Amino acid sequence: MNQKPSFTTSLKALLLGGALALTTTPSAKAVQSAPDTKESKSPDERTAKIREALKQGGSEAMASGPITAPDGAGLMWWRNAWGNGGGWHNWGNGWHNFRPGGWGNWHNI
Amino acid sequence: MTSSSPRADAASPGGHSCTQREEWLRLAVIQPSPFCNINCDYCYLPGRSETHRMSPETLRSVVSEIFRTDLVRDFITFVWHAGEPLAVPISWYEDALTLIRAEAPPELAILHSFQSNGMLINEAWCEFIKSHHISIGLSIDGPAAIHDAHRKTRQGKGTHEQAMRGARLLRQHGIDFHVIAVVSGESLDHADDIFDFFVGEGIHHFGFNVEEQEGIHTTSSLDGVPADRVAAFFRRIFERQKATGGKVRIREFDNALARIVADTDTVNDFIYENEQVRPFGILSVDWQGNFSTFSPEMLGVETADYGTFAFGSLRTGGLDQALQSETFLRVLQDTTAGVERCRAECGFFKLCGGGAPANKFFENGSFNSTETAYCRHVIQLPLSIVLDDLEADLLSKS
Repeated sequence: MNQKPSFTTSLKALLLGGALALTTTPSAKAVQSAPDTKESKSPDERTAKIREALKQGGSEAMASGPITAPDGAGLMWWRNAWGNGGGWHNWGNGWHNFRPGGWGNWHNI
Repeated sequence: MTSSSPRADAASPGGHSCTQREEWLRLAVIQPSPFCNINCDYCYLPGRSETHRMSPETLRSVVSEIFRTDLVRDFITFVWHAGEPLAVPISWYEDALTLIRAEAPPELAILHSFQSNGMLINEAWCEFIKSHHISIGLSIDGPAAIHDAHRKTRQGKGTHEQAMRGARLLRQHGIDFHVIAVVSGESLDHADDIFDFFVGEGIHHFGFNVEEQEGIHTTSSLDGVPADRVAAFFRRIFERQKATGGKVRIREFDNALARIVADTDTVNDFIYENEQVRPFGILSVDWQGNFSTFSPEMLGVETADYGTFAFGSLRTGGLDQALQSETFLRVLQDTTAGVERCRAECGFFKLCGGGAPANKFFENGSFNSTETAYCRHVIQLPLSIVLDDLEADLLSKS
């Protein structure tokens, strides 16, 4: 099966540390230029607050109920998506529940 | 196949470890034939009147190369697409699926998938789809008036009636399927009609592709449409979905939820999580064995800047041809630069990972660019809607 490791090795070389590699360095500019959305908070800030609330018990409400979220609101409706909702390739011509928790990037499927 | 994936290192130049998802190549989009039996006016595919078919020898070379590299780990999806897949005989797929299973490592999980216009579905197809556990999605835009505005035969007739006949046949056979609806200018004022139509037909899993400028489709009926009209459409769809108590699942909102509630940001977990910016995260192969990567819409397109986006031929060689391809290296360089610009300029970057290269190229004229209509409609808008909803439910009393 690994008769051609050279392709992967060469691809790896392209993607590691060279000019063709994506970096993982956070960008201060991204935070500065984040669009004003909800109450001028960036998507990152909003997402962080949601994740924190989920850690406080919201995730149970969302995943299985009964509803125990802080405001007792209707989170249970998400339960069918919980741990499952990202299972789509993100190319949009295919919509495949290919792996719980993962998501795809092409939208034509 | 069990060692030395580029991911193991590429995931972690900044010290982040790769965790659950080890696959590098997860999606192979194979074109059995470019032919399509209908002629939708928003289609991005060139050459869809041509009736060529991939030869068994070419398919064998393609499959063999996919499994010879160690890019595939535990799972791969084969999407038979880029033409109407059901216009190719069942016997062709019987041979293809047998070949793939024979060539694949025994432990590899394989999902086969069709995205079809539904018009050719008959009893035999239903039996085949069911017996091979094939995932199938139908392209239906909603009620007849909306669907038939764009999805026409070559004689200009509507295709809705035949597509729905196929959908009902699938249901009669107990085959679960999803629907992808293109949102065009005709759709925007009819969110309720579209939602009611699908639910009334027993369709509970659907997604929306917003009409885009891609491939040979260089304009969109949404060009110049105010963003708030598109937003109103999706917000209404979300309201209706929520009112079903979760019975209806909509791809864009489920995707948004998954990104928001993930343990880590997409790009922190794996900088190449976005399949469309990961070289050879998606492999696209045309009927002749020519291959491409990044966005599948790029295959078969010829441009003044780059020439063709085919980076080699699996009929005559391996994937490593790409690494000697000046075009591939230019596209990689430009795509990478575009993703870095997304990182610097877009507040949604951590939840997205860099957009869709094909949309950037066709809409902005360069891979080295940032926001597109795809970003606004398919990434940012659903994320904003779901964030609004979660904040209302989770944070309103905290």
